[in-house]
Amino acid sequence: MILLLIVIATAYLAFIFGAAWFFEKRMANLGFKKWMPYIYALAIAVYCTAWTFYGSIGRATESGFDFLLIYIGPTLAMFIWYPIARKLYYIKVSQGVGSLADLLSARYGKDATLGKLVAALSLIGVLPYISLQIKAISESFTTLAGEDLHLAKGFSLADPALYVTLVMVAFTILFGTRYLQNNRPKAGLIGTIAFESLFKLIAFVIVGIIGLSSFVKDDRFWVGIQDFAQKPIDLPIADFSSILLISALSFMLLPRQFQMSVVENNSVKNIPKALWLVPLYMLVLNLFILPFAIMGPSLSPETNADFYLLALANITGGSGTAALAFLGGLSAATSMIIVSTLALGNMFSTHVLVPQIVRNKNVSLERRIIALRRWAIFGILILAYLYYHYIAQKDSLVSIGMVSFAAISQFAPAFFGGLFWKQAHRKGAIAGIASGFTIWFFFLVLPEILNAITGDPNFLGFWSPRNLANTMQINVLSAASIFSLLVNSLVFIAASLGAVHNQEEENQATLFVDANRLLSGNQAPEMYRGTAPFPNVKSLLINFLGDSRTEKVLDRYARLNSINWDISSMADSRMISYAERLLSEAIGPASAKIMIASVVQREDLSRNEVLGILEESQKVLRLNRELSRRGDQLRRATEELQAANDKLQGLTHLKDEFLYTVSHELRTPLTAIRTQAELIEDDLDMPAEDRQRFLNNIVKDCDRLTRLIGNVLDLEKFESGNQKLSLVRIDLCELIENIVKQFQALAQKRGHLLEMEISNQIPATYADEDRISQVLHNLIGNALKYAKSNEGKVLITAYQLDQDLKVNIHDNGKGIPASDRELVFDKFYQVRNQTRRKPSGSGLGLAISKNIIQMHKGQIWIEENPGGGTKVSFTLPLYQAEGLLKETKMLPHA
Amino acid sequence: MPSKILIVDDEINILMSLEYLFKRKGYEVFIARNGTEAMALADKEEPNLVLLDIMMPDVDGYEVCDYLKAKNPAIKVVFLSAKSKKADVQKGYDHGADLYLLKPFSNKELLNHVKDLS
Repeated sequence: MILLLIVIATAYLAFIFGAAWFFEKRMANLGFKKWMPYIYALAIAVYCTAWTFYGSIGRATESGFDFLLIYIGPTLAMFIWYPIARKLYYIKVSQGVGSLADLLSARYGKDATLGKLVAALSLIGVLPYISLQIKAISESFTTLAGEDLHLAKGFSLADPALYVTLVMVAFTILFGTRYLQNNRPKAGLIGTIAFESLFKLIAFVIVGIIGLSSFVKDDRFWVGIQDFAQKPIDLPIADFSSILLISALSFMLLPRQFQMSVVENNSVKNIPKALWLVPLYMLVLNLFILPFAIMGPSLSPETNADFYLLALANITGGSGTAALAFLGGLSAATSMIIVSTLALGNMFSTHVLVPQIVRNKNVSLERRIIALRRWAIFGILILAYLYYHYIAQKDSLVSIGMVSFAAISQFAPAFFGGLFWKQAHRKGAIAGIASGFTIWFFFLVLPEILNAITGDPNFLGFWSPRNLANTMQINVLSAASIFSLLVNSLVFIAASLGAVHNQEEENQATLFVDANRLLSGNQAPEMYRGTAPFPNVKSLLINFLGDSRTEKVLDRYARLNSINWDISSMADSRMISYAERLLSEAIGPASAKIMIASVVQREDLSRNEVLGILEESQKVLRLNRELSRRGDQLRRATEELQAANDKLQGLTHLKDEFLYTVSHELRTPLTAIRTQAELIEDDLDMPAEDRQRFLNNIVKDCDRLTRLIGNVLDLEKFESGNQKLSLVRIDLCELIENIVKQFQALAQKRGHLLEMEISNQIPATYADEDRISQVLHNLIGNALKYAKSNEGKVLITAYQLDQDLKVNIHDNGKGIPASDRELVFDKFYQVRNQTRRKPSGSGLGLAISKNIIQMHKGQIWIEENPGGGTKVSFTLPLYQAEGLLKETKMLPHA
Repeated sequence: MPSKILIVDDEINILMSLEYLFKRKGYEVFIARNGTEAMALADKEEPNLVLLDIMMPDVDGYEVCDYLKAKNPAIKVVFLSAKSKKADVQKGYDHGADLYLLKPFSNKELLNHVKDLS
């Protein structure tokens, strides 16, 4: 088992390195963009750590349902999260914010002290929590391996947690410190954390289903459920609500949460889906907690309740299932360790270490800054490991976590006040956080220390936290949370109200509170009056960002603002503000401010001036957007107009073409009439039979002219939409028979065979009888005309096809080339654009037929016919009632 | 004079009446109903004037005109066509026609033109 665990754990860790590498290289250009909201939501699920994975079962065994509060809190927080997350996103981008310490420092006048305080207290609050994850890895290993691997005292090289810790150091440094800018999303990191969240969820669900399917066969399970249901829920309302409150606050403020939901966020658009996906994720993950908590004591009484999941997975599903549970726990723990360590490392190096080195401006600091972060990460993880090894051995997973939550919650008043209350002041923030932490320390940390030193848990007597909490009939954690937050908030408000803002503090307060309006343009707001020699600003940037990146950002800035650096040798205030933001991304707002101050003789703009400039640039931005929208509209309108004009020209062209063709078709019979009439007129001696012949011809040509004019008028009616159908119930079979009879004489005269095969089952339908007759006349007439000149044959078939009647007229003539099969339905296809004439006819028959069939909502086409000849087919929808076609109106041809 | 005239048109009534007209005026007349027939007949009978329709099945009037003028540059060609656009007329002359007459025309007019040309 030990070997198996070591192999799969190693394989898993190797895999997440590979995954991170893949995401880092590919996420930008594979189709990941549409998946970003889901990846983002999964990354936020880093909230669910080994504590969720293992500890919740322990907690449920011990005290029933209250483990759920830790997830209900964040679920409730989601209701107010959207406006906060959106605001934070805008602030992060435009202010170069890379951590909670950066955020609070920037908000409260770019204050260095506040940044240091937040960084240090975050470290104190969260370090035990990271240790907890290391402990979970180690103990899960021990639980499955069945041996106590870490020797009671001292340092052991046999502890697998040590190696996991070192691997985590490598991972965090490799994928977390790629860029100098702290606020830049890192695809490899976010992708991997999302993957780990997915993995732990799937692992938990599989193990849960396997366990549950075996529990339901066990009577003890059902008895256990009844016992559980009857257990009175006796959690005092104060305990209940304090857990809800601190878990909701921690969900927003924990370093790892802030890192994933704000710093690593690459778009405001990611936020909405997370609002329901994250609660859903937590719900699914919690489904199986209770069954394991109920069966744990019966099936594996000797196991630590925190690790029932592993023990029961082993019992119900064998070592494979146990290994899956172990990997799930490993993924939960490692994702927390990676993100927490990265966030703490960034905060600590930016606010505590970097200020020590930036004083020396004459060396290139770019690499040193990243190196400091890496050392911070390394140091924090080693500290966490040592804490786990020497101190955190006996506490349950949940209790350490709750202490951490209570600590992080202390940032809440300064955080919310900073985002929503302009009066909130640096002094209030510092005093509030300091007092809150003191109370937290007194209730939750001091007793442990005193206990360790004196061996007396109630060393302080009446003033011992336990005694105080008991007096109030709530538990120590609730007392600590309620008191600390209450005092914290009151101090924060009182000190803020009493303090006076300086110019910069006031400006920052306004920017943060109105971030949605002022900062959504992602522009660095202009804060100063004054200029600095451009070379000074540039060398400052080079100092911190390095040569190539400085060149790049300045080029981009110059291009965006149409500036030529060679000519303008002074950097204006906008450029200076931009430089400050770039520095802030690398070294935090407080240090950036100091650095900028060292090259610029600056004078802060008043709040109204800052607002004026911002409003102006927002207005320009809005104007640009509006202009480009108008431009788009105009372009669209132009395009539409152009299209309409083209269409009109096309129509005009068609009309001209039509008139030309009509005139051609009129001239031909007219020529014959005139020539013959003149012959008769001029030749009084013409033999009687010749005269008779010419007169006959003239009459025929007149008929032809009349037909042509009738057709032209018909077509015009159809195409203008003035033609109405008069629908009657017709028997298509009978109609075809009659028309075929009329054509038999002509067919015989030409020596053609005219046959029909019509199904007797054709139902009657509503159609315009005259018009359908016209179509049949046209088609049969054409077929007889184009059939082979000797042995010509025309076959007519008709039958019902689904909801249509289908009629085919098939001749054995030359056929129509595929390219012309659609064109033949155009009017005057015969003569259009060509000089060769097809056999005679008005050239309008097929066009009219097409119009008639389309008015009946049918279709007409030349069918592919491998047997040769031409096969014209049309369909008529089967109308059983008269009304269906009433509304039909022929639309003019385009 | 008297000339040999070849009349080419796919419209049978026009063909027959023109044949009648020119025969009555003493011309030697040949008729063809399409381009192919016309070219064969021209080779055989060597007419000095051709009345030529343009839109015909198979070979159109332009091609027939080209063929005739290539064989015998002295041959007179009169297009009789219902194609009324300027471009059509121009095309007719471009193919070497001596005259382009738009249908319908009067018999007198046609006779006069033919007389002038022969």
